[in-house]
Amino acid sequence: MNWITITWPMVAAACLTLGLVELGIGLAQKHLRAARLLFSLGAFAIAASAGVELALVHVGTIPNAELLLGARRVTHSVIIAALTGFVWFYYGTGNKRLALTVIFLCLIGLVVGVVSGQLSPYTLSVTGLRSVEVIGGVTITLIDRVFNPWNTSLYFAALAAIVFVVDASVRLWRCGGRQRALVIGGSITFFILAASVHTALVSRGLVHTPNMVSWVYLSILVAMAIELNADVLGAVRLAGQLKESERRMDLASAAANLGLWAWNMVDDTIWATSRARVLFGFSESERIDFARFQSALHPEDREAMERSVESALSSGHGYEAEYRVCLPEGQVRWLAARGQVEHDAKGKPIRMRGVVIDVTARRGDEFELQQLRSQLAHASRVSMLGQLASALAHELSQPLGAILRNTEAAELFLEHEPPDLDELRAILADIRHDDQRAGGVIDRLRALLKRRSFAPQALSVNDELANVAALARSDSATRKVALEINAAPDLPPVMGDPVHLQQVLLNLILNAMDAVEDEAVARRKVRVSARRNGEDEIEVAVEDSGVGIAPERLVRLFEPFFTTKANGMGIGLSISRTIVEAHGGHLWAENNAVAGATFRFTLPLAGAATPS
Amino acid sequence: MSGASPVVHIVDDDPSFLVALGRLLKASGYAVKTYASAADFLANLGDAAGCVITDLRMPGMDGLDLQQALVRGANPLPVVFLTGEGDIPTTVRAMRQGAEDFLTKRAPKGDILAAVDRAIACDAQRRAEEARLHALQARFETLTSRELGVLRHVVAGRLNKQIAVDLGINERTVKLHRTAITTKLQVRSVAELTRLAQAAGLFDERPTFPKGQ
Repeated sequence: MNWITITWPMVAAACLTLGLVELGIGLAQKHLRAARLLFSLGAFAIAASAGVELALVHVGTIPNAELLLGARRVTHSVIIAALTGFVWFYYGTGNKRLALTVIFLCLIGLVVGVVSGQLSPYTLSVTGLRSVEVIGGVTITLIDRVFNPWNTSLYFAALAAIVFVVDASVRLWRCGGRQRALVIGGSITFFILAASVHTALVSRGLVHTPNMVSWVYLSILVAMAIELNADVLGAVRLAGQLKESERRMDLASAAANLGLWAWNMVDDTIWATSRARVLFGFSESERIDFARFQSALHPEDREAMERSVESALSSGHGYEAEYRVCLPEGQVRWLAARGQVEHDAKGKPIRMRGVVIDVTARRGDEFELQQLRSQLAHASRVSMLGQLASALAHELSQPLGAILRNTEAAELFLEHEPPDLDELRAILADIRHDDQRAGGVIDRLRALLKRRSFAPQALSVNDELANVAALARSDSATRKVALEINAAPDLPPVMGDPVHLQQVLLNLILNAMDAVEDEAVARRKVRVSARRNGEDEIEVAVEDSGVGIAPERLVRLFEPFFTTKANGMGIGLSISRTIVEAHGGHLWAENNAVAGATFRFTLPLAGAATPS
Repeated sequence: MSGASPVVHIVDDDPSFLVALGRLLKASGYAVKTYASAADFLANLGDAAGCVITDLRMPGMDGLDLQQALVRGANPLPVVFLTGEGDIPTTVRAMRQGAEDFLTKRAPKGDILAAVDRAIACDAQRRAEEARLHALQARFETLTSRELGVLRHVVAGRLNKQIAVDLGINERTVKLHRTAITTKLQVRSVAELTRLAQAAGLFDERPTFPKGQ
């Protein structure tokens, strides 16, 4: 045992280990596979070279020495060729001719190495063996050799390899891969040079040391391994960070009660965090696809959700949907989902990713608020119709009176001989007409008296104006107010709830009539007009000829329970504004230039923005 | 009662009710004219006898306005009000202005016909009285102004002598005038003369003597 018999095997073992590691990685992943396989080939060759060097230290006979020198040539050829190939694949650049030259020279070296020893008299070079003592008091065998030109091919191969590596490194440097170029190019150039010089010196017997080429190559190998695996090390660090950020995300999503999901459209699978699974009522291990997801939704909400998905896919904008989920225990849960679509290189949507959150509580509050609002609106309608009661009774008694008188007249006509059938037919037609008229009044009343929630539909503002005018006309006659309805013809439909819209119109008209009540009869005027305002809305104006509104009242007008009337509740205008805003419009008041005030409100057209 | 048969004028802004009530009254044997508004009616009102049935609530000129205009006019036909629903203040106002009747639109047929009959009878009576008054006034118009002067004093209960002094004429001349008056008016006693003069509305507070039409 001496330092030589300990260290050379260690070098070989280190090379073997590195080679095996890269072989494993190279076989397992595609990335840099060729570079890694060449690396491991080189590493194994260096390990072999270390073994040969160790044997040479103690070689006893000349033929054995020739044989070992041949083996050493073989390993060196393989090492230089493998390093060249590694640089070629790892850099992805280099001079092809130079590379081929290196490989060619290595092949010559290989052949020379194989035929060394007894086989070929041309390659023989050993002239004698002698023992010398080197550092550490170890005795080694030195081989005396003569120059043999066949053996020089490896020097040329090494030279060509250095030129190739320097050239490739310069290319890589220019392309921006400065660190790789410096570490690999620098180390290979330096160490091959060093190895060649050392070998030359030892071969000429100028230096008395064992062959240490494998040491030099190990250094190159280590530099290469560090560089090659910088990516792997980086990936490990990244994986750590990823895990950390995933943990943070989990924490955040758990704190916010968010569920995460991703829908892979290619194979129609939905990945969901356990929180998302709980929200939808899916079990922990269940496979989810789109159909399964759909089946969890409330039947009434499925179509809306599908529309959201389709619009997200076609527009490329975000996906947004709110829907109910029917849980197995019969509970209903409101969920809000948001997501983004991801596309492949051709722009085809392949994945959708997003979050889902439980909004049952908010929905419940909204529902309660809506209930309250609709109750208040109903109360206000009832109180408004109370004001109209006497006018409406008149409105009803007209057709009923006409029916009665017509019936009595018909009885008298029947007593004539012969009865006037034409007259009787006319009477019957009139009775039918009056019955329908009375029915219309009752229907209008019933509609306004019914408790109902907001149900928007496409409707004509002119129709609703006509309905309201029919209710208010008789009252305006009694109060001697000239009620003028000016609706522009062919107004496009708006999205709205007819009853709520009538309530707003009636409220504004009754207020306007109140406002002109103290004026002289000739000046009591209320004008209602509807016209198109720009591209996507309709503006309705209710104009009165009263005294107008004091500026300090103008701002408070729409506050709940603000009233200027002796018997007013002060909820009419505030409810009207709520209703108009629920339609996506605005309601405001302004004083006229001449006299009185005008209340205006806008409604978006049915095709424009959807009301919230 | 004048020669033409009485006409029932119906005023209502509701065309349907207007036609229906017109039918009923025609079938019941009345001459009927219908108007869609008070203004329309007043513009076409002649001096024919009859009555008016009007809706109380109408745009523009309502039933009460119509009644007022009618009372001030030359042919104050009795007014029967019909309304969808009655409220106390309007009813009171209508009755104060001399509404003949106040009925709801859905009142029994009998009530309406009775009210119409009453109104027509009332109109007829008023017209008869008016006619008698006119006849009476026509008789007084045959008197000369001097005879009228004497008559004023006679009706006031003054003696011939006092009248002669007051008027500055002979007592005999007063007697002659009195004979002419009783002959022209065909009365037999001073009492009868006084009653006639009163019935003709002579010498009451009115400053001018009504000239006959």
